[in-house]
Amino acid sequence: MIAIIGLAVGVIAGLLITPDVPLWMQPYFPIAVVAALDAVFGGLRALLDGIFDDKVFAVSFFSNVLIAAAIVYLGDQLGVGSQLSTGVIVVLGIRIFANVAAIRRHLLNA
Amino acid sequence: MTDEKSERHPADTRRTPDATMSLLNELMTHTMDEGYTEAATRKRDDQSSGNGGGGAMAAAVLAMFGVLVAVAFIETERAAPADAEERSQLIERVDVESARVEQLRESVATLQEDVSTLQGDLASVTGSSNDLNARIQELSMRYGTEPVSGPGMVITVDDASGGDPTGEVLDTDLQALVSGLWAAGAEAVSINDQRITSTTSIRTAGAAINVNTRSLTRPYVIRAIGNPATLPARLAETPGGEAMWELRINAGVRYENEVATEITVPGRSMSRLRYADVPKGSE
Repeated sequence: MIAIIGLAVGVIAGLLITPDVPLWMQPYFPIAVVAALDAVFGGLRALLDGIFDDKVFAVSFFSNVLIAAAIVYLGDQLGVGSQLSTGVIVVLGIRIFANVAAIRRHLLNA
Repeated sequence: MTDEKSERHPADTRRTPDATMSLLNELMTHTMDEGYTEAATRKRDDQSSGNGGGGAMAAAVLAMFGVLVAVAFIETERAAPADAEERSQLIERVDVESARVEQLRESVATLQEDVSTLQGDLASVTGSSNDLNARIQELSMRYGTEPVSGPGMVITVDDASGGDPTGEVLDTDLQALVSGLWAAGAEAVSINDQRITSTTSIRTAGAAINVNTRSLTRPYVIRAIGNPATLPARLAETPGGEAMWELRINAGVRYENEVATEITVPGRSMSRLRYADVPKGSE
């Protein structure tokens, strides 16, 4: 419950404060969001599996975000930025779909 | 050792028939962070009561996630109007440029047509200009404005020596001689390098004979271009030629003629015809 409240507080704070994203960060921001989404769904699935752990969730969240951004940054430096972001999105998308499927099985038994 | 290996080998391949797909398999099956299961087993071993879900740290992380999502949403929303405007401007530009290309293509077709028409015109104009140049050349030679050269004869006429008035060469003698040359088939005639043209006069003015209004000095050298084989003989048969011959015998006038293979008769610059024109109705 406290987690959902935290999420709501975060969303409202983000909408109210509307911090300006620095220009150099803008290309990596959407990738970071997708990576964070993956971590959140992974955590949700772990919660439903009954093996959720605060520390693992926090670490996976930050490492996902940072690694996704770092991969895209590296790709930009190598000149294959758009291709690498596509690859990252595909991999994260597959994981998110699989996790959501597991969550659905838990919640709906189907 | 080798036996064991050969035994194991087929078993291994049977176990993993999709070995080449291991990366995709890994991706599909290990979707959840393995840290969770590890942490769970550790906890079970420690027998310590974990705080399950909904801890403060998870809440903080989720709050950060919320901020992230909200900011991403706002960023996208902010960029949307600019994107749309850019897009519509681009479409507008594409339309304008397409219209321009169409227009230019049309003008290219028109201009190509013009070019081919003009090329045809140019060809015909060049042809007629060549014809006209040739005609001008021929007429200039006939009319006397262009110098001409060719075979012919040179006649030298002078007063009789001794100062006898009857032995003086008159303008009428030269007129008769030139007329005789024309009659004998001469094509161009000059007296002392004065070309005889359609408007030339030969007449006495004072003590001298004027040709083309220029006074001549003796002796009179007449150059005539024509057939060198027939010109002297035919001249001798004309009244002008006969008169000169008589003058030579009776009055002692000097009269010499010789045939030349190459003589040059100069041209005479003439003013433009200002009053004469082609009669109306005749082309």
